[in-house]
Amino acid sequence: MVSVRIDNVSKSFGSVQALRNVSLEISNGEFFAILGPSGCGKTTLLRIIAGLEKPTKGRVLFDEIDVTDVPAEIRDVSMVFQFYALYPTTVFNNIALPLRSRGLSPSETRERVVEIAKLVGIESILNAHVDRLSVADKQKVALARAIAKEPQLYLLDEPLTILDPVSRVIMRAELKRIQKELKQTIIYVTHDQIEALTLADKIAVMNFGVVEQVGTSSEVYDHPESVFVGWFLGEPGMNFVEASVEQDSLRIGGKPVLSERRILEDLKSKGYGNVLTGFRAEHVKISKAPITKLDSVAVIEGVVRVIEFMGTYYVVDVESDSAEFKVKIDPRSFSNLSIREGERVWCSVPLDKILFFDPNSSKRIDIGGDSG
Amino acid sequence: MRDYRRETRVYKIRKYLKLGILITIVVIYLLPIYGMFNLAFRPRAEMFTGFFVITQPTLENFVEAYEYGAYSAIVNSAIITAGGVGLALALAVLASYAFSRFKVKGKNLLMFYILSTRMMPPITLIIPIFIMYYTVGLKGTYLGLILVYGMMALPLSVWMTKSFIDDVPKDIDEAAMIDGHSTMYILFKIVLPMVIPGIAASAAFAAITIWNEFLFALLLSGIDTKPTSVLLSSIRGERGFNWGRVAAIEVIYIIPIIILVFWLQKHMLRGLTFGTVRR
Amino acid sequence: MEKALIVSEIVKKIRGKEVLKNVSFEVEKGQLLVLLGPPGSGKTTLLKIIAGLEKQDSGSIYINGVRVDETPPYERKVSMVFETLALYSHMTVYENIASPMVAEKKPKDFIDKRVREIAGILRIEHLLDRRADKLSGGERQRVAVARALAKEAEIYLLDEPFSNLDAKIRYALRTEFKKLKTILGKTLVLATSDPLDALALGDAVVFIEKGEVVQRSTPVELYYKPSRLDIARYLTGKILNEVIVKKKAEGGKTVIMSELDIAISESVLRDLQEIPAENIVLASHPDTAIIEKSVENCDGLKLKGRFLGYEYRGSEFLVFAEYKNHLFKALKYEKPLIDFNEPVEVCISREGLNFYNLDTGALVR
Repeated sequence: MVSVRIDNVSKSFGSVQALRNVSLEISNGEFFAILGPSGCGKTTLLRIIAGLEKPTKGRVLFDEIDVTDVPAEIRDVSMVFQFYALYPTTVFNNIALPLRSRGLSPSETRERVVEIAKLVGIESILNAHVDRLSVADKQKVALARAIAKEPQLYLLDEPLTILDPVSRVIMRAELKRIQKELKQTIIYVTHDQIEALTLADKIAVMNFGVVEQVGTSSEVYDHPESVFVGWFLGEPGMNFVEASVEQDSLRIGGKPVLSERRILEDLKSKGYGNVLTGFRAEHVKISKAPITKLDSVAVIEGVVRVIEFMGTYYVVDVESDSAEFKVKIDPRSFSNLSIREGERVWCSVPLDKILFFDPNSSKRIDIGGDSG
Repeated sequence: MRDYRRETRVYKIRKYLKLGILITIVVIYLLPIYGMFNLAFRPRAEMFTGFFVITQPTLENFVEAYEYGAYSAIVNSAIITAGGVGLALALAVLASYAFSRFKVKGKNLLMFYILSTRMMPPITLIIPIFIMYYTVGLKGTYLGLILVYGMMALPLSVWMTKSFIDDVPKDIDEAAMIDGHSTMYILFKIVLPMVIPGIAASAAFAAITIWNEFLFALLLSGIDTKPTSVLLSSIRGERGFNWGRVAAIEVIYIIPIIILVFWLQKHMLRGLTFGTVRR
Repeated sequence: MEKALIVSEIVKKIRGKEVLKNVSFEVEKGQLLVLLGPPGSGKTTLLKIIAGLEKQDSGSIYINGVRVDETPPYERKVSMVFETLALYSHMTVYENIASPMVAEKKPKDFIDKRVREIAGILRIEHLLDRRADKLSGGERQRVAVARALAKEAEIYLLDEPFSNLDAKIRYALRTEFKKLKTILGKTLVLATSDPLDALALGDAVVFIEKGEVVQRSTPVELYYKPSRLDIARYLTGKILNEVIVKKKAEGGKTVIMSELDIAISESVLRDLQEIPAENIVLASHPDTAIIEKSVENCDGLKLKGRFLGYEYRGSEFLVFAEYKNHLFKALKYEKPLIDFNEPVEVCISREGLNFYNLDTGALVR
């Protein structure tokens, strides 16, 4: 177990800046996720923590000791990659290797291997050759091998990405169980926000080499600090619609959607003529009857463009003039509504579920007195 | 508290030790080559003085090489090599594409057969070919040597090119088939451009084989068409072995190959390891 | 009106193994049919047979009423997007999209107009001059679709078009795709192993497992009434709630037994009486289950367990409870305020409960 601190790390590859002034603190025993789209720099950051790359600027500290110049082999770190790199032998031997190199006797090795295999859930395939295994099982072996090394830090780089969607869901639950039993410091890189939300104690959301926000699952989901974080988290991501700040209301496409005094005053006093309103798909209520009263809700009128059935919920894509946003509806409400593509609808969002963002900086605007 | 400092130091010492051993081995291997280059620039007088130092480096050896006919020999080598490689590649590309993509009856047998032609000692073939060539009038001609070398380089070229083409997913061919392109278009305009590094590697290996070949060249080339390998062999038996001149000829003989290998080394390395790693 | 595509009794063996066993289904004009199945179930082989890239051992393919078994791929009026995308990596995006039209020997200005038109629909006009190997995952996907659209075809086949993408991009592309489908009005067959693709996009879904067609229905039907237990498990990513019961005739009455201590409501008992099977699996989705400290008025199956935790999905929570090594799940819309290991009650509602014969795996009610 170790605490990790990343102190102002920057990394460039030639003219490409992969990381810019990244600073993070990961506590002892924490499951820390680094979440972001492909190319945001998360894998580069992980490699720097592992010691496989050197930062252009900045330091990496383990338990407050500077390890930036310490080679990867010495850092005592276990890494699980996207593409399991297994030795072409049996499952048993793959797990046993790090144990044998640590000098354990054959009987101790056997005991440990079985213990670890049980933890990961592969004790039934110990004697199988890795070539015969399914992709999910191969990743489990890679994980078991990493555990056998008994490192002070675990680094996992998108280990579930190559799995088919069904196996991925199962492995996610398995990982959570294993993590609870291991109680080690784990840094987990992924582009899948459900993985991060489910598994991590803390999440760092990254985009284009910069950390946009660090927080717990509910912090980054309910209180995103920037448009990117709001959009990236959630399925579907947060909706963003541009609105103009008028005398008596907030308007979208000229039509008033919100008339709450307090919010309008605050925005005007901060000098905003236009804002980005952010709201989540699950907070939108659809009605086929027109809604005209605007107290405590914002109302947008629009046309249904696409309806997608996702099993446990429906996603409805609504278009209003130039604005487009999604609504998430549970199956029962959906069948009660019975809307079709092309129908005109009125969507209402409770005011306390709306966040406001600066259209230029994309950062969240703190509206005095609101709960967001 | 972990002592990273000490562990790093131990690690670094081991690393540099291994490096030192490797460098020593490399130096030992390179010494003869260095010696050859060194010799080429020595004047007659300094032929046997010290191993490294030349007080008056000179180009006279290279001039003598020219007078000896070395440059026309190099040109001959180049013509024969280019021709042989060209012939081998032209046939290899068509054959390996067919082997890679089509269902050919007895494919494995055929491929093995092609490879097996290289397993026979060349000397067993030389007499029949010599007689054939003499009869047909190919003895001493460029064409004659190009044909023989083309056949010699063919097996390895076919195998190497095939493995590179195998690496191009069949999906690409299929997508092109759905688009509606003809097989020739698919081969030359779509698949081949994707394996240019592979073709270059095959060409490089073929070129090295042909450039260095001696036996067939000795027996099948004529006075005007003899390549450098033959020239070098005839240098012996002269009164007073002119080391400097020999070294000079060797230098100009080896330089094109060095340039070729340096230029294509990345691709050649891939070619050498084909078939060993399965993804 | 002819069907756009008829697949009739296709059988295919590869190296002695039966990869496709008597596969038959039909696609209407303008429909999007999804072929759903786990990896290795034969979907790709089937698509290739429809396209003419592989030959079936027996059976026939009819496109627009015409039997095409002897027709080569480029004459079948089929266009395909491959799982690996199969882009011509050394050519530019423009050249990739133009490829089908170049093969058809269309005039230059026609090609130019079409390429820009299609690139506009897929929003890749800014990439036309870029080499195909210098694109991001989502961009490559669009180029592959663009190239397929550039060919005039009756049927468009797509093999796992969203597989190698970031979760976020996958979701966005799916919606875009659905919009596109309405605009283009073409007949599409999409093969995927992701149940969400099938549910969100399909007009009809054909479930294929180990080369056999197991069920064909609409997405909603497939989700609520899967004809086999393994389909139900596959659709929910195996987070189905399952309870096994045994029916026995004892002294003139039928007795329901289970190794789990469950309270079964009257209505469910009545349902069970009517089922002819002996070993029955009761299965339903987590959205019809409740896990709370105490549950009143449970019309269905009720049992006690211990709280195991939850999965945070942003707008909903998937809650887990364990009882005698069985895992039960329920969907909740607020954060559960229950501690790990605390005793809870689980109610699996009768609504949405499906009854399966344990031995055959088939749906009986």
